[in-house]
Amino acid sequence: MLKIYEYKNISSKEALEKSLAKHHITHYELVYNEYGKPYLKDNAVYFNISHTKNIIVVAVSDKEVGVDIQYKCYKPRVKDKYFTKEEKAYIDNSLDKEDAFTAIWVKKEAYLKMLGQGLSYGLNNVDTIKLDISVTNNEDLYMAICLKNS
Amino acid sequence: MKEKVITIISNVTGIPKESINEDSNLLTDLNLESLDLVTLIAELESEIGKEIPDKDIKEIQTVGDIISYIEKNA
Repeated sequence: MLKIYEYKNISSKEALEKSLAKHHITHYELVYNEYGKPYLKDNAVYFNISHTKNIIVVAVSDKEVGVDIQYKCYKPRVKDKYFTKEEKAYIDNSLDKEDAFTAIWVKKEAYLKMLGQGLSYGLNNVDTIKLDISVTNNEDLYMAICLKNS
Repeated sequence: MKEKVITIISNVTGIPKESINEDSNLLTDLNLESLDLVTLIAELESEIGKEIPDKDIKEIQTVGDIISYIEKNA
């Protein structure tokens, strides 16, 4: 099971409440792992939240899940420091560098958020070229979703 | 150093310098997204000429934390 809910101009807390209510979860307590990833206490439903500007996306699943959204952009210094040799080559050889950069960024983030370790895992320890994570985009807004064992 | 760090944060995020102070929390007050955060780290590294390891990023929560980190490590 995987459901994605998108909201505009509301807080992360409100977005989570609305999303969980659709799964009949109205009373819940959050617990956090050592890296700060939130989970529902005593509940087998997983969730993950991403926001950019005024958009919030909530992914709800029965598996560990990570989601990331980002408006199309290109940050050369971030590429140089945090991307693998293969990822850098992919971007450098792309005609649309913003498209290539943003797609790789959301995949990296979604994967790290699924793992629940955040940046401490090391962005350049994730080679998205080898990961089968799909990226969708609605005009300039890109989104990647990563489920455990996917 | 404080002025320099605030200028870099302002340039990366577009937030006016007057709205940034040492107590500002990067995530909850300045609403930095993770891409903003790593862009900021990369810009700071370029400024101080030294790498900031990923494991240290977790310890940086406020503007004051960045200033202290640079003063200790630069």
